Amino acid sequence: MSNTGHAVFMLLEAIYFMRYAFSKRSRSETATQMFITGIKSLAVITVVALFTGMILALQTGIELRRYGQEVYIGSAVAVTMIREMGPFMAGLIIAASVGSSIAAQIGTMTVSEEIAALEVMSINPNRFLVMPRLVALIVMMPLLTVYTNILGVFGGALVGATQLGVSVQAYMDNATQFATNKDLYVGLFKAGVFGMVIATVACHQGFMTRDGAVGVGRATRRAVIISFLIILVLGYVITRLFYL
Amino acid sequence: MNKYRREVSIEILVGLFMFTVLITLGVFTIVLSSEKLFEKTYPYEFVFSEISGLREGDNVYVRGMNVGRVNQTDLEKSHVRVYVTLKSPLYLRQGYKIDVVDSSMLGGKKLKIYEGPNEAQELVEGTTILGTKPVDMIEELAYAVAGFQTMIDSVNAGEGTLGKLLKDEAIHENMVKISEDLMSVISRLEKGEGSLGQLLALDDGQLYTDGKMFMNNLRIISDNLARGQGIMGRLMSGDEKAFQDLEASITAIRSISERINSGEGTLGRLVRDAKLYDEATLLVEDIRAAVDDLREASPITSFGSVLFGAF
Repeated sequence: MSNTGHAVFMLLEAIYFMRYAFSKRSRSETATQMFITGIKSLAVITVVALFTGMILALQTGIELRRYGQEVYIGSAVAVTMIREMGPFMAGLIIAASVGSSIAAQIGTMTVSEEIAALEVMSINPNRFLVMPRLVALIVMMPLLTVYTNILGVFGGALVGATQLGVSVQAYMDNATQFATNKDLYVGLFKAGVFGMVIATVACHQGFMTRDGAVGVGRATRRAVIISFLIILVLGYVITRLFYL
Repeated sequence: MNKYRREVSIEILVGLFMFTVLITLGVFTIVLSSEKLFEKTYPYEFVFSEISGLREGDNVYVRGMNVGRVNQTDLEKSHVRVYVTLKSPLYLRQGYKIDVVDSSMLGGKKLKIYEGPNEAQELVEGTTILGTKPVDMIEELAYAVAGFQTMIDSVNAGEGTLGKLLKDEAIHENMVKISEDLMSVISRLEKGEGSLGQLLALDDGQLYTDGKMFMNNLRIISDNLARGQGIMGRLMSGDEKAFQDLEASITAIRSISERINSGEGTLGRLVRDAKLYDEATLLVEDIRAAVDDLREASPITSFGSVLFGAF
Protein backbone atom coordinates (compact mmCIF):
# COMPACT_ATOMS: atom_id res chain seq x y z
CA MET A 1 0.00 0.00 0.00
CA SER A 2 2.83 2.39 0.91
CA ASN A 3 4.46 1.49 -2.40
CA THR A 4 1.31 2.53 -4.21
CA GLY A 5 1.21 5.80 -2.30
CA HIS A 6 4.87 6.48 -3.15
CA ALA A 7 4.20 5.72 -6.82
CA VAL A 8 1.20 8.09 -6.92
CA PHE A 9 3.12 10.96 -5.29
CA MET A 10 6.04 10.35 -7.63
CA LEU A 11 3.65 10.50 -10.58
CA LEU A 12 1.95 13.68 -9.37
CA GLU A 13 5.32 15.36 -8.84
CA ALA A 14 6.49 14.29 -12.29
CA ILE A 15 3.28 15.67 -13.81
CA TYR A 16 3.93 18.90 -11.98
CA PHE A 17 7.43 19.05 -13.50
CA MET A 18 6.13 18.32 -16.97
CA ARG A 19 5.97 22.04 -17.70
CA TYR A 20 9.79 21.91 -17.78
CA ALA A 21 9.87 19.01 -20.21
CA PHE A 22 11.11 21.11 -23.09
CA SER A 23 13.12 23.62 -21.06
CA LYS A 24 16.77 24.04 -21.98
CA ARG A 25 17.90 21.75 -19.13
CA SER A 26 15.48 18.90 -19.77
CA ARG A 27 14.89 19.03 -23.52
CA SER A 28 17.83 16.88 -24.40
CA GLU A 29 16.91 14.13 -21.94
CA THR A 30 13.24 14.25 -22.99
CA ALA A 31 14.20 13.96 -26.65
CA THR A 32 16.53 11.06 -25.89
CA GLN A 33 13.82 9.22 -23.99
CA MET A 34 11.36 9.85 -26.83
CA PHE A 35 13.91 8.51 -29.26
CA ILE A 36 14.49 5.37 -27.17
CA THR A 37 10.77 4.82 -26.64
CA GLY A 38 9.57 5.68 -30.12
CA ILE A 39 12.20 5.20 -32.78
CA LYS A 40 14.12 2.31 -31.21
CA SER A 41 10.93 0.32 -30.65
CA LEU A 42 9.74 0.65 -34.23
CA ALA A 43 11.36 -2.55 -35.51
CA VAL A 44 9.81 -4.85 -32.95
CA ILE A 45 6.45 -3.04 -33.11
CA THR A 46 6.43 -3.37 -36.91
CA VAL A 47 6.75 -7.15 -36.75
CA VAL A 48 4.28 -7.58 -33.89
CA ALA A 49 1.63 -5.24 -35.39
CA LEU A 50 1.87 -6.72 -38.87
CA PHE A 51 1.48 -10.28 -37.63
CA THR A 52 -1.25 -9.35 -35.15
CA GLY A 53 -3.32 -7.98 -38.04
CA MET A 54 -2.53 -11.00 -40.19
CA ILE A 55 -3.50 -13.47 -37.46
CA LEU A 56 -6.73 -11.58 -36.74
CA ALA A 57 -7.65 -11.54 -40.42
CA LEU A 58 -6.85 -15.22 -40.88
CA GLN A 59 -8.75 -16.40 -37.81
CA THR A 60 -11.86 -14.33 -38.42
CA GLY A 61 -11.67 -14.93 -42.17
CA ILE A 62 -11.66 -18.72 -41.74
CA GLU A 63 -14.80 -18.55 -39.60
CA LEU A 64 -16.56 -15.95 -41.77
CA ARG A 65 -15.81 -17.96 -44.92
CA ARG A 66 -18.21 -20.65 -43.67
CA TYR A 67 -21.01 -18.16 -44.15
CA GLY A 68 -19.54 -16.61 -47.29
CA GLN A 69 -18.95 -13.34 -45.41
CA GLU A 70 -15.15 -13.17 -45.49
CA VAL A 71 -15.34 -9.60 -46.81
CA TYR A 72 -16.18 -8.61 -43.23
CA ILE A 73 -12.59 -9.29 -42.09
CA GLY A 74 -11.96 -5.63 -42.91
CA SER A 75 -14.29 -4.41 -40.22
CA ALA A 76 -13.27 -7.18 -37.79
CA VAL A 77 -9.55 -6.39 -38.05
CA ALA A 78 -9.94 -2.60 -38.16
CA VAL A 79 -12.30 -2.38 -35.21
CA THR A 80 -10.31 -4.87 -33.11
CA MET A 81 -6.98 -3.22 -33.85
CA ILE A 82 -8.16 0.35 -33.36
CA ARG A 83 -10.20 -0.25 -30.24
CA GLU A 84 -8.13 -2.78 -28.35
CA MET A 85 -5.28 -4.63 -29.97
CA GLY A 86 -3.33 -1.57 -31.15
CA PRO A 87 -2.95 0.09 -27.74
CA PHE A 88 -2.71 -3.27 -25.98
CA MET A 89 0.06 -4.69 -28.18
CA ALA A 90 1.98 -1.41 -28.17
CA GLY A 91 1.61 -1.26 -24.37
CA LEU A 92 2.93 -4.80 -23.89
CA ILE A 93 5.91 -4.25 -26.18
CA ILE A 94 6.85 -0.94 -24.59
CA ALA A 95 6.39 -2.33 -21.07
CA ALA A 96 8.62 -5.29 -21.91
CA SER A 97 11.31 -3.31 -23.71
CA VAL A 98 11.30 0.29 -22.49
CA GLY A 99 9.68 -0.29 -19.06
CA SER A 100 12.14 -3.02 -18.14
CA SER A 101 15.02 -0.87 -19.34
CA ILE A 102 13.85 2.11 -17.23
CA ALA A 103 13.46 -0.10 -14.13
CA ALA A 104 16.92 -1.62 -14.64
CA GLN A 105 18.56 1.77 -15.24
CA ILE A 106 16.99 3.54 -12.24
CA GLY A 107 17.39 0.38 -10.13
CA THR A 108 21.12 0.30 -10.86
CA MET A 109 21.35 3.99 -10.06
CA THR A 110 19.54 3.35 -6.77
CA VAL A 111 21.73 0.44 -5.63
CA SER A 112 24.84 2.33 -6.62
CA GLU A 113 23.53 5.31 -4.62
CA GLU A 114 23.48 7.64 -7.62
CA ILE A 115 19.96 8.70 -6.72
CA ALA A 116 21.12 9.58 -3.21
CA ALA A 117 23.95 11.60 -4.76
CA LEU A 118 21.47 13.52 -6.91
CA GLU A 119 19.42 14.34 -3.83
CA VAL A 120 22.58 15.47 -2.03
CA MET A 121 23.21 17.82 -4.98
CA SER A 122 19.60 19.10 -4.59
CA ILE A 123 18.61 17.63 -7.92
CA ASN A 124 15.10 16.27 -7.75
CA PRO A 125 15.21 12.74 -9.22
CA ASN A 126 11.55 12.99 -10.18
CA ARG A 127 12.27 15.99 -12.36
CA PHE A 128 15.60 14.73 -13.62
CA LEU A 129 14.75 11.07 -14.21
CA VAL A 130 11.01 10.41 -14.00
CA MET A 131 9.53 13.42 -15.82
CA PRO A 132 11.41 12.97 -19.16
CA ARG A 133 10.50 9.27 -19.23
CA LEU A 134 6.89 10.00 -18.33
CA VAL A 135 6.61 12.64 -21.07
CA ALA A 136 8.30 10.35 -23.58
CA LEU A 137 5.95 7.46 -22.84
CA ILE A 138 2.77 9.56 -22.69
CA VAL A 139 3.62 11.21 -26.03
CA MET A 140 5.08 8.21 -27.81
CA MET A 141 2.58 5.54 -26.82
CA PRO A 142 -0.35 7.07 -28.80
CA LEU A 143 1.96 7.65 -31.78
CA LEU A 144 3.18 4.08 -31.64
CA THR A 145 -0.44 2.96 -31.37
CA VAL A 146 -1.36 4.80 -34.57
CA TYR A 147 1.60 3.07 -36.22
CA THR A 148 0.48 -0.30 -34.81
CA ASN A 149 -3.08 0.25 -36.01
CA ILE A 150 -2.01 1.08 -39.54
CA LEU A 151 0.34 -1.87 -39.80
CA GLY A 152 -2.26 -4.22 -38.28
CA VAL A 153 -4.90 -3.13 -40.77
CA PHE A 154 -2.35 -3.44 -43.56
CA GLY A 155 -1.43 -6.97 -42.38
CA GLY A 156 -5.12 -7.92 -42.44
CA ALA A 157 -5.46 -6.56 -45.99
CA LEU A 158 -2.42 -8.61 -47.01
CA VAL A 159 -3.96 -11.84 -45.71
CA GLY A 160 -7.37 -10.90 -47.14
CA ALA A 161 -5.93 -10.32 -50.61
CA THR A 162 -3.57 -13.30 -50.70
CA GLN A 163 -5.35 -15.98 -48.63
CA LEU A 164 -9.06 -15.17 -48.55
CA GLY A 165 -9.74 -13.61 -51.93
CA VAL A 166 -10.89 -10.27 -50.51
CA SER A 167 -9.68 -7.36 -52.63
CA VAL A 168 -7.86 -4.52 -50.90
CA GLN A 169 -10.57 -2.09 -52.04
CA ALA A 170 -13.37 -4.24 -50.57
CA TYR A 171 -11.34 -4.76 -47.41
CA MET A 172 -10.73 -1.04 -46.94
CA ASP A 173 -14.35 -0.12 -47.74
CA ASN A 174 -15.51 -2.59 -45.13
CA ALA A 175 -12.87 -1.51 -42.61
CA THR A 176 -13.85 2.15 -42.81
CA GLN A 177 -17.54 1.33 -42.77
CA PHE A 178 -17.63 0.09 -39.20
CA ALA A 179 -14.63 1.73 -37.45
CA THR A 180 -15.33 5.22 -36.16
CA ASN A 181 -13.27 8.15 -34.95
CA LYS A 182 -14.50 7.43 -31.44
CA ASP A 183 -12.85 4.01 -31.64
CA LEU A 184 -9.62 5.61 -32.82
CA TYR A 185 -9.43 8.31 -30.17
CA VAL A 186 -10.54 6.10 -27.28
CA GLY A 187 -7.73 3.75 -28.35
CA LEU A 188 -5.24 6.62 -28.36
CA PHE A 189 -6.42 7.78 -24.95
CA LYS A 190 -5.96 4.26 -23.71
CA ALA A 191 -2.44 4.19 -25.11
CA GLY A 192 -1.58 7.47 -23.33
CA VAL A 193 -2.82 6.01 -20.05
CA PHE A 194 -0.78 2.86 -20.65
CA GLY A 195 2.30 5.01 -21.27
CA MET A 196 1.77 6.81 -17.99
CA VAL A 197 1.34 3.47 -16.17
CA ILE A 198 4.49 1.96 -17.70
CA ALA A 199 6.61 4.99 -16.82
CA THR A 200 5.24 5.20 -13.27
CA VAL A 201 5.60 1.47 -12.51
CA ALA A 202 9.07 1.20 -14.07
CA CYS A 203 10.44 4.32 -12.31
CA HIS A 204 8.86 3.33 -9.02
CA GLN A 205 10.26 -0.19 -9.18
CA GLY A 206 13.64 1.32 -10.00
CA PHE A 207 13.55 3.58 -6.96
CA MET A 208 12.44 0.66 -4.76
CA THR A 209 15.37 -1.54 -5.79
CA ARG A 210 17.37 -3.10 -2.98
CA ASP A 211 20.05 -5.80 -2.64
CA GLY A 212 22.40 -4.99 -5.48
CA ALA A 213 22.36 -6.74 -8.86
CA VAL A 214 19.84 -9.37 -7.75
CA GLY A 215 17.51 -6.59 -6.65
CA VAL A 216 17.86 -4.91 -10.08
CA GLY A 217 16.80 -8.12 -11.81
CA ARG A 218 13.87 -8.49 -9.41
CA ALA A 219 12.80 -4.87 -9.94
CA THR A 220 12.92 -5.30 -13.71
CA ARG A 221 10.79 -8.45 -13.57
CA ARG A 222 8.29 -6.84 -11.19
CA ALA A 223 8.07 -3.72 -13.36
CA VAL A 224 7.13 -5.78 -16.43
CA ILE A 225 4.63 -8.01 -14.60
CA ILE A 226 2.90 -5.15 -12.77
CA SER A 227 2.73 -3.09 -15.97
CA PHE A 228 1.16 -6.02 -17.86
CA LEU A 229 -1.46 -6.54 -15.15
CA ILE A 230 -2.37 -2.86 -14.88
CA ILE A 231 -2.56 -2.54 -18.69
CA LEU A 232 -5.01 -5.46 -18.83
CA VAL A 233 -7.19 -4.15 -16.01
CA LEU A 234 -7.18 -0.55 -17.27
CA GLY A 235 -7.90 -1.75 -20.79
CA TYR A 236 -11.11 -3.32 -19.55
CA VAL A 237 -12.04 -0.33 -17.37
CA ILE A 238 -11.56 2.23 -20.16
CA THR A 239 -13.51 0.10 -22.66
CA ARG A 240 -16.29 -0.29 -20.10
CA LEU A 241 -16.24 3.46 -19.46
CA PHE A 242 -16.61 4.46 -23.12
CA TYR A 243 -18.70 1.68 -24.62
CA LEU A 244 -21.25 0.67 -21.98
CA MET B 1 30.43 19.00 -30.67
CA ASN B 2 29.70 15.36 -31.27
CA LYS B 3 27.31 15.30 -28.34
CA TYR B 4 25.54 18.36 -29.75
CA ARG B 5 25.24 16.76 -33.16
CA ARG B 6 23.92 13.58 -31.64
CA GLU B 7 21.30 15.52 -29.68
CA VAL B 8 20.22 17.40 -32.79
CA SER B 9 19.94 14.23 -34.85
CA ILE B 10 17.87 12.60 -32.08
CA GLU B 11 15.59 15.62 -31.96
CA ILE B 12 15.24 15.61 -35.75
CA LEU B 13 14.38 11.91 -35.79
CA VAL B 14 11.86 12.23 -32.98
CA GLY B 15 10.32 15.31 -34.61
CA LEU B 16 10.14 13.58 -37.98
CA PHE B 17 8.51 10.53 -36.44
CA MET B 18 5.97 12.65 -34.56
CA PHE B 19 5.22 14.77 -37.62
CA THR B 20 4.72 11.70 -39.82
CA VAL B 21 2.51 9.91 -37.33
CA LEU B 22 0.42 13.01 -36.66
CA ILE B 23 -0.18 13.51 -40.40
CA THR B 24 -1.09 9.82 -40.66
CA LEU B 25 -3.45 10.22 -37.72
CA GLY B 26 -5.12 13.13 -39.50
CA VAL B 27 -5.57 11.10 -42.69
CA PHE B 28 -6.79 8.14 -40.66
CA THR B 29 -9.36 10.36 -38.95
CA ILE B 30 -10.63 11.67 -42.29
CA VAL B 31 -10.82 8.16 -43.74
CA LEU B 32 -12.71 6.81 -40.72
CA SER B 33 -15.19 9.65 -40.77
CA SER B 34 -15.76 8.89 -44.50
CA GLU B 35 -15.57 12.59 -45.30
CA LYS B 36 -14.71 13.58 -48.85
CA LEU B 37 -13.29 17.06 -48.33
CA PHE B 38 -13.44 18.26 -51.92
CA GLU B 39 -16.49 16.37 -53.13
CA LYS B 40 -19.87 18.04 -53.58
CA THR B 41 -22.54 16.38 -51.45
CA TYR B 42 -26.34 16.67 -51.29
CA PRO B 43 -28.05 16.67 -47.89
CA TYR B 44 -31.58 15.25 -47.50
CA GLU B 45 -34.01 14.69 -44.63
CA PHE B 46 -36.39 11.76 -44.35
CA VAL B 47 -39.14 11.33 -41.77
CA PHE B 48 -39.88 7.88 -40.36
CA SER B 49 -42.34 6.66 -37.76
CA GLU B 50 -39.50 4.43 -36.54
CA ILE B 51 -36.08 3.44 -37.90
CA SER B 52 -35.53 -0.05 -36.45
CA GLY B 53 -31.92 0.48 -35.35
CA LEU B 54 -30.67 2.60 -38.28
CA ARG B 55 -27.72 4.62 -37.06
CA GLU B 56 -25.19 7.21 -38.11
CA GLY B 57 -22.76 5.95 -40.71
CA ASP B 58 -25.15 3.41 -42.25
CA ASN B 59 -25.15 3.31 -46.03
CA VAL B 60 -27.77 4.68 -48.40
CA TYR B 61 -28.54 2.72 -51.58
CA VAL B 62 -30.34 3.88 -54.73
CA ARG B 63 -30.92 1.27 -57.46
CA GLY B 64 -28.36 -0.99 -55.76
CA MET B 65 -25.63 1.68 -55.64
CA ASN B 66 -24.10 3.02 -52.47
CA VAL B 67 -24.71 6.76 -52.84
CA GLY B 68 -24.15 8.08 -49.34
CA ARG B 69 -24.44 7.71 -45.61
CA VAL B 70 -26.74 8.49 -42.73
CA ASN B 71 -25.39 11.57 -40.95
CA GLN B 72 -27.70 11.93 -38.01
CA THR B 73 -30.91 10.56 -36.53
CA ASP B 74 -33.08 12.76 -34.34
CA LEU B 75 -35.93 11.53 -32.19
CA GLU B 76 -38.77 14.06 -32.45
CA LYS B 77 -42.20 14.23 -30.85
CA SER B 78 -44.03 11.74 -33.07
CA HIS B 79 -41.41 10.59 -35.54
CA VAL B 80 -37.72 10.15 -36.25
CA ARG B 81 -35.93 12.51 -38.60
CA VAL B 82 -33.03 10.99 -40.54
CA TYR B 83 -30.40 13.24 -42.14
CA VAL B 84 -28.40 11.76 -44.98
CA THR B 85 -25.65 13.03 -47.25
CA LEU B 86 -25.63 11.73 -50.81
CA LYS B 87 -22.94 11.89 -53.47
CA SER B 88 -25.49 12.57 -56.21
CA PRO B 89 -28.82 14.44 -56.28
CA LEU B 90 -31.99 12.46 -55.66
CA TYR B 91 -35.01 12.83 -57.96
CA LEU B 92 -37.99 11.37 -56.14
CA ARG B 93 -41.29 10.85 -57.97
CA GLN B 94 -44.81 10.05 -56.82
CA GLY B 95 -44.85 6.44 -55.59
CA TYR B 96 -41.30 6.63 -54.16
CA LYS B 97 -40.35 4.34 -51.28
CA ILE B 98 -37.67 4.66 -48.62
CA ASP B 99 -37.07 1.54 -46.54
CA VAL B 100 -34.82 0.65 -43.64
CA VAL B 101 -33.59 -2.87 -44.49
CA ASP B 102 -31.02 -5.32 -43.11
CA SER B 103 -27.61 -4.76 -44.69
CA SER B 104 -26.52 -8.39 -44.24
CA MET B 105 -27.41 -11.66 -42.55
CA LEU B 106 -25.12 -10.72 -39.69
CA GLY B 107 -27.05 -7.56 -38.92
CA GLY B 108 -26.68 -3.86 -39.56
CA LYS B 109 -29.10 -1.62 -41.40
CA LYS B 110 -29.12 0.42 -44.56
CA LEU B 111 -31.47 2.84 -46.27
CA LYS B 112 -32.88 1.64 -49.58
CA ILE B 113 -34.44 4.29 -51.78
CA TYR B 114 -36.81 3.57 -54.68
CA GLU B 115 -37.33 6.80 -56.62
CA GLY B 116 -40.79 5.90 -57.99
CA PRO B 117 -42.05 4.96 -61.48
CA ASN B 118 -40.33 6.74 -64.38
CA GLU B 119 -43.57 8.13 -65.78
CA ALA B 120 -44.74 9.49 -62.40
CA GLN B 121 -44.62 13.17 -61.50
CA GLU B 122 -41.56 14.44 -59.68
CA LEU B 123 -41.98 15.64 -56.09
CA VAL B 124 -42.17 19.37 -55.54
CA GLU B 125 -39.11 20.80 -53.81
CA GLY B 126 -39.65 21.19 -50.09
CA THR B 127 -42.01 18.24 -49.79
CA THR B 128 -41.52 16.25 -46.61
CA ILE B 129 -40.09 12.90 -47.66
CA LEU B 130 -41.67 10.08 -45.69
CA GLY B 131 -39.99 6.73 -45.08
CA THR B 132 -41.78 3.42 -44.86
CA LYS B 133 -42.20 1.87 -41.43
CA PRO B 134 -39.65 -0.97 -41.25
CA VAL B 135 -40.76 -4.55 -40.80
CA ASP B 136 -39.41 -6.11 -37.63
CA MET B 137 -38.87 -9.73 -38.65
CA ILE B 138 -38.55 -10.99 -35.07
CA GLU B 139 -41.80 -9.27 -34.11
CA GLU B 140 -43.54 -10.70 -37.18
CA LEU B 141 -42.19 -14.14 -36.35
CA ALA B 142 -43.49 -13.80 -32.79
CA TYR B 143 -46.96 -12.93 -34.16
CA ALA B 144 -46.83 -15.91 -36.50
CA VAL B 145 -45.81 -18.25 -33.67
CA ALA B 146 -48.57 -16.85 -31.44
CA GLY B 147 -51.14 -17.41 -34.21
CA PHE B 148 -49.87 -20.91 -34.77
CA GLN B 149 -50.11 -21.62 -31.05
CA THR B 150 -53.75 -20.39 -31.01
CA MET B 151 -54.49 -22.68 -33.95
CA ILE B 152 -52.94 -25.67 -32.19
CA ASP B 153 -54.92 -24.88 -29.03
CA SER B 154 -58.21 -24.72 -30.95
CA VAL B 155 -57.39 -27.98 -32.74
CA ASN B 156 -56.58 -29.58 -29.40
CA ALA B 157 -59.90 -28.30 -28.06
CA GLY B 158 -61.67 -30.00 -31.00
CA GLU B 159 -62.80 -26.70 -32.55
CA GLY B 160 -63.16 -26.14 -36.30
CA THR B 161 -63.04 -28.68 -39.11
CA LEU B 162 -59.51 -29.82 -38.35
CA GLY B 163 -60.21 -30.05 -34.63
CA LYS B 164 -63.36 -32.12 -35.26
CA LEU B 165 -61.50 -34.27 -37.71
CA LEU B 166 -58.93 -35.06 -35.08
CA LYS B 167 -61.22 -35.26 -32.06
CA ASP B 168 -64.69 -36.41 -33.29
CA GLU B 169 -65.13 -40.21 -32.88
CA ALA B 170 -67.91 -40.45 -35.50
CA ILE B 171 -65.70 -38.81 -38.14
CA HIS B 172 -62.90 -41.10 -37.15
CA GLU B 173 -65.12 -44.16 -37.57
CA ASN B 174 -66.32 -42.87 -40.95
CA MET B 175 -62.74 -42.40 -42.05
CA VAL B 176 -61.93 -45.95 -40.96
CA LYS B 177 -64.97 -47.26 -42.87
CA ILE B 178 -64.00 -45.27 -46.00
CA SER B 179 -60.51 -46.64 -45.70
CA GLU B 180 -61.80 -50.22 -45.43
CA ASP B 181 -64.09 -49.72 -48.42
CA LEU B 182 -61.24 -48.31 -50.45
CA MET B 183 -59.09 -51.28 -49.51
CA SER B 184 -61.86 -53.63 -50.60
CA VAL B 185 -62.25 -51.83 -53.95
CA ILE B 186 -58.51 -51.89 -54.54
CA SER B 187 -58.42 -55.59 -53.68
CA ARG B 188 -61.18 -56.32 -56.22
CA LEU B 189 -59.41 -54.24 -58.85
CA GLU B 190 -56.22 -56.19 -58.20
CA LYS B 191 -58.07 -59.45 -58.66
CA GLY B 192 -59.48 -58.21 -61.97
CA GLU B 193 -63.07 -58.26 -60.77
CA GLY B 194 -65.71 -55.96 -62.30
CA SER B 195 -65.46 -53.95 -65.52
CA LEU B 196 -62.72 -51.63 -64.27
CA GLY B 197 -60.79 -54.54 -62.83
CA GLN B 198 -60.99 -56.45 -66.13
CA LEU B 199 -59.91 -53.36 -67.97
CA LEU B 200 -56.91 -52.98 -65.66
CA ALA B 201 -56.14 -56.70 -65.73
CA LEU B 202 -56.10 -56.65 -69.56
CA ASP B 203 -52.40 -56.30 -69.86
CA ASP B 204 -51.93 -57.40 -73.48
CA GLY B 205 -51.61 -53.92 -74.87
CA GLN B 206 -54.93 -54.11 -76.73
CA LEU B 207 -56.38 -51.18 -74.81
CA TYR B 208 -53.34 -49.12 -75.66
CA THR B 209 -53.48 -50.15 -79.33
CA ASP B 210 -57.18 -49.38 -79.60
CA GLY B 211 -56.74 -46.08 -77.90
CA LYS B 212 -53.85 -45.21 -80.20
CA MET B 213 -55.86 -46.20 -83.28
CA PHE B 214 -58.78 -44.11 -82.08
CA MET B 215 -56.54 -41.16 -81.59
CA ASN B 216 -54.99 -41.68 -85.04
CA ASN B 217 -58.45 -41.73 -86.61
CA LEU B 218 -59.39 -38.60 -84.78
CA ARG B 219 -56.21 -36.96 -85.98
CA ILE B 220 -56.90 -37.99 -89.61
CA ILE B 221 -60.42 -36.59 -89.38
CA SER B 222 -59.19 -33.36 -87.87
CA ASP B 223 -56.44 -33.13 -90.54
CA ASN B 224 -59.02 -33.64 -93.28
CA LEU B 225 -61.24 -31.02 -91.75
CA ALA B 226 -58.31 -28.67 -91.52
CA ARG B 227 -57.35 -29.31 -95.16
CA GLY B 228 -60.97 -28.76 -96.23
CA GLN B 229 -61.44 -32.32 -97.49
CA GLY B 230 -64.92 -33.91 -97.50
CA ILE B 231 -68.18 -32.07 -97.12
CA MET B 232 -67.59 -31.06 -93.52
CA GLY B 233 -64.08 -29.98 -94.38
CA ARG B 234 -65.20 -27.92 -97.31
CA LEU B 235 -67.93 -26.36 -95.22
CA MET B 236 -65.47 -25.56 -92.41
CA SER B 237 -62.85 -24.23 -94.82
CA GLY B 238 -65.38 -21.68 -96.09
CA ASP B 239 -65.93 -23.28 -99.54
CA GLU B 240 -68.71 -21.04 -100.91
CA LYS B 241 -69.89 -23.55 -103.57
CA ALA B 242 -70.28 -26.39 -101.05
CA PHE B 243 -72.21 -24.07 -98.83
CA GLN B 244 -74.50 -23.00 -101.68
CA ASP B 245 -75.03 -26.67 -102.70
CA LEU B 246 -75.93 -27.59 -99.14
CA GLU B 247 -78.27 -24.62 -98.88
CA ALA B 248 -79.95 -25.59 -102.16
CA SER B 249 -80.30 -29.21 -100.98
CA ILE B 250 -81.84 -28.11 -97.70
CA THR B 251 -84.22 -25.80 -99.56
CA ALA B 252 -85.26 -28.69 -101.88
CA ILE B 253 -85.77 -31.06 -98.93
CA ARG B 254 -87.85 -28.45 -97.18
CA SER B 255 -89.96 -27.96 -100.34
CA ILE B 256 -90.51 -31.73 -100.65
CA SER B 257 -91.42 -32.10 -96.99
CA GLU B 258 -93.85 -29.16 -97.28
CA ARG B 259 -95.51 -30.77 -100.31
CA ILE B 260 -95.74 -34.12 -98.48
CA ASN B 261 -97.17 -32.35 -95.49
CA SER B 262 -99.77 -30.59 -97.61
CA GLY B 263 -100.79 -33.95 -99.17
CA GLU B 264 -99.44 -33.26 -102.65
CA GLY B 265 -98.02 -36.07 -104.81
CA THR B 266 -98.09 -39.83 -104.16
CA LEU B 267 -96.18 -39.66 -100.90
CA GLY B 268 -98.29 -36.71 -99.73
CA ARG B 269 -101.48 -38.60 -100.50
CA LEU B 270 -100.11 -41.70 -98.78
CA VAL B 271 -99.44 -39.58 -95.72
CA ARG B 272 -102.58 -37.53 -95.80
CA ASP B 273 -105.35 -39.72 -97.60
CA ALA B 274 -106.94 -42.25 -95.18
CA LYS B 275 -108.88 -43.98 -97.98
CA LEU B 276 -105.74 -44.65 -99.93
CA TYR B 277 -104.24 -46.05 -96.74
CA ASP B 278 -107.21 -48.42 -96.30
CA GLU B 279 -107.02 -49.53 -99.94
CA ALA B 280 -103.30 -50.09 -99.63
CA THR B 281 -103.95 -52.16 -96.51
CA LEU B 282 -106.57 -54.24 -98.32
CA LEU B 283 -104.17 -54.70 -101.24
CA VAL B 284 -101.46 -55.92 -98.94
CA GLU B 285 -103.92 -58.35 -97.33
CA ASP B 286 -104.96 -59.66 -100.78
CA ILE B 287 -101.37 -60.12 -101.84
CA ARG B 288 -100.56 -61.94 -98.59
CA ALA B 289 -103.61 -64.34 -99.21
CA ALA B 290 -102.56 -64.97 -102.80
CA VAL B 291 -99.02 -65.78 -101.67
CA ASP B 292 -100.37 -68.18 -99.03
CA ASP B 293 -102.54 -69.96 -101.65
CA LEU B 294 -99.57 -70.22 -103.94
CA ARG B 295 -97.39 -71.66 -101.11
CA GLU B 296 -100.10 -74.29 -100.29
CA ALA B 297 -100.52 -75.27 -103.98
CA SER B 298 -96.82 -75.35 -104.63
CA PRO B 299 -96.10 -78.92 -103.34
CA ILE B 300 -98.97 -80.42 -105.47
CA THR B 301 -97.72 -78.54 -108.52
CA SER B 302 -94.21 -79.73 -107.86
CA PHE B 303 -95.34 -83.35 -107.44
CA GLY B 304 -97.38 -83.19 -110.67
CA SER B 305 -94.40 -81.69 -112.48
CA VAL B 306 -92.14 -84.51 -111.26
CA LEU B 307 -94.67 -87.23 -111.93
CA PHE B 308 -95.83 -86.09 -115.33
CA GLY B 309 -92.67 -84.38 -116.36
CA ALA B 310 -91.18 -87.61 -117.66
CA PHE B 311 -93.99 -87.97 -120.10
